[in-house]
Amino acid sequence: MENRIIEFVSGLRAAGVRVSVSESRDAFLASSNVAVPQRETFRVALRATLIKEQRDRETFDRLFPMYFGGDPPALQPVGQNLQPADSETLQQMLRELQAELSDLLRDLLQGKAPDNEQLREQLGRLPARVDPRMLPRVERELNKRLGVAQMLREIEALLAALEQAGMQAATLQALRAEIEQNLQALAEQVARFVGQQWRERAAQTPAEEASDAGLADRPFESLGDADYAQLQREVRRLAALVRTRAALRHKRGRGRLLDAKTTLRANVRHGGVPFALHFKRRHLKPKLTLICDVSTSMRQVVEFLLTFIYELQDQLSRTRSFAFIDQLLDISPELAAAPPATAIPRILRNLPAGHYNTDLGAALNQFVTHHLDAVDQRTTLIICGDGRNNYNDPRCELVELLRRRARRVLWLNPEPRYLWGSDDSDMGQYASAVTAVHHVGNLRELAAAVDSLLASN
Amino acid sequence: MTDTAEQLGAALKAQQYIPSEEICTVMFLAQQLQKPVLVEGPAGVGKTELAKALASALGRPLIRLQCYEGLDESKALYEWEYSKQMLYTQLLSGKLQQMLADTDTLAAAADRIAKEDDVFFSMRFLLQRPLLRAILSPEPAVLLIDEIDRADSEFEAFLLEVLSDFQISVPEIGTLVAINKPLVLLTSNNTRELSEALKRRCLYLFIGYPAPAAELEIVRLKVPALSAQIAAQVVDAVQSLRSLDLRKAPSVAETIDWARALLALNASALTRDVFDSTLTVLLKYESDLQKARQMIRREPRKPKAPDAA
Repeated sequence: MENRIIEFVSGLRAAGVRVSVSESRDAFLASSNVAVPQRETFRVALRATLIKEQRDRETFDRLFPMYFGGDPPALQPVGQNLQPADSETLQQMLRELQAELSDLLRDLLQGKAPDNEQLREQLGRLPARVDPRMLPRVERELNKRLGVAQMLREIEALLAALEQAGMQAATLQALRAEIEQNLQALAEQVARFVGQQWRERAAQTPAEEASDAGLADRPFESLGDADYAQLQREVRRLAALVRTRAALRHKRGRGRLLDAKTTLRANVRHGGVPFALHFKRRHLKPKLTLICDVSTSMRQVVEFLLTFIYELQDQLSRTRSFAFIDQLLDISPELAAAPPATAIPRILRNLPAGHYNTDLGAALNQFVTHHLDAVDQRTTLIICGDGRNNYNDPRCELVELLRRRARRVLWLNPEPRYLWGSDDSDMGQYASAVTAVHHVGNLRELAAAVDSLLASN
Repeated sequence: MTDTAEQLGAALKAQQYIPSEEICTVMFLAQQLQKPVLVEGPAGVGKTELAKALASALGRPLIRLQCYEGLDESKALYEWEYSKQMLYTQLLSGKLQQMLADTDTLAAAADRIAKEDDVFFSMRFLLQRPLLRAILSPEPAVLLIDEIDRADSEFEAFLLEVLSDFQISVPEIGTLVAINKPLVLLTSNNTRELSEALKRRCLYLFIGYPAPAAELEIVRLKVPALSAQIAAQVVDAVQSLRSLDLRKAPSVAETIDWARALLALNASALTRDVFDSTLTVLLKYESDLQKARQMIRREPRKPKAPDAA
């Protein structure tokens, strides 16, 4: 059992779940502590010790039966319980249809499943590092190669022929049930085989080393879905960097305000002599309001920006977020409920249906009409967009109104500077209306923009 | 201490808490392995409630530390009670004079006072905050660190020592090691990512929305006066609301509130009018309300006849 747990842990690691040595030790202890070796309890014990993220649960639930599934159900010979006459009909029919029936079906009727050799021959060698979520697809492919679809057609033909030969409906029903049971058992065995192959491959291939070299410097539009997990890691790393710097500034920064009240109270212990100074810190944490363009071209940048802000939540005093394409939507509750990676697809689903034409002017108008309370003189307003307005009215006066009201208005734009003002871009006009514009073409620039935002507060 | 997960489950049930099998197993393991448990899940599914029920089920005192932004060691761990120390020095000044009367030099006097250091830096003047209280508790306690995600990440880092070694170092006194290791529960609403180091030290438990049968059991237990038929309808309605794509899905706490509201209104059946007028108890956003109203319009609830029919 212990070897099996070790194998399972390395399988989890191969599937991209981070499991530390101390956690696998906990898993051992836990499994030896569950008094009754019930499978469900055992599963919960392993899950509680090995999986610490909600998003890794799916991988765990998929891998667990592959390692601790027990033996798959065996196939049973079909037609054992038939009346002698019916049995005779069946045998005769099988002889008649000899040429048309595949070996697979004949084996199935006799209760024989393809052995591992045959399966291996059909499957070939699994490539290294197959995402376990792709395994059902591998199973379907293997089933196809075995000729399961053809066999299903043959079964129908066989049953139809038996009906013609005068077999009774009830008998046919029983026969069909038996065949279906065997089909299920076969599917189960195929799944087990694929799982076992995956396990062997996972045990051979070492866990993937993080190679995020240069990811931070690549432009957003060249980042594919494949890099996604790595990108999230990189975002988290950069966010940690920004956080450390912000915290250092907090402690050592100049321009701190003495908090007389707290200092007096804290120094009562020294007889009122102010040995230990206390400073006001709450003004150091900026209050943010974000307005994000979530049209297709901007989606990725916005997602990274939101992930960043979400990671830095403890460095901010309050954040409100809005998304728009042509309608404005308050997305703060969604972001409070789930991390950006899961929240943003939901937000996009929730956007009112219609023609998706970016219209910042209309969105700003809605913002000023309904959500002006989200901006006060302590708020930093961040607009994240490419400023491409589809020739709609840019409503620059609203941006100016917001700038007068807010502490400052920052604009994050992924487009290179020389494209601003070309075609339907109103960026030139907006740029003169806001406090500062940051060009954020890649992760590093995004991190720098967020860092400067925290620094100059 | 309970011997099996089943016994623990029964004990929790006796405290009016309906645990899932997973909750029982993880809590049992936490006791056996003496590890803290990180509990996550949507708001209002009974994370805090679990800690309370667990404490009374095990007959242990519950010590609660509510986290918030800016929480620091002096609020979470300990603080020297300076005013009390000052008061004592002043009241004891006569005694001090007397003690120092026969010393000739300043150095000798200082040495003599130094010998009495222990008096002024003793447990007597140590103001115990929740974490220290949990460690020093003479009987094993349940320590609830609520909403850890609200505290700063520096606080999280400093919590690591407490959680892995169950000890706290006070420079003036020394290291205080737990007499009885407390059972620690941390809850998080996941407003920010917690550090890997913290997660590694904890067992993980995710509490989601309960299955219909379990939720019905909870409603029946918490609002016993509500008729069985309406309770079933309530749970049925809430479960189908959760399947909608809502901004804030109703959680168990809201289900119970709703059941209480229906009881207060003395509703004999869950008709569409009643549903419409009490929906605000369940859903807190205008867009969610609209979606829910659309749902009942789409699948008109069969007007359930009152019990007489």
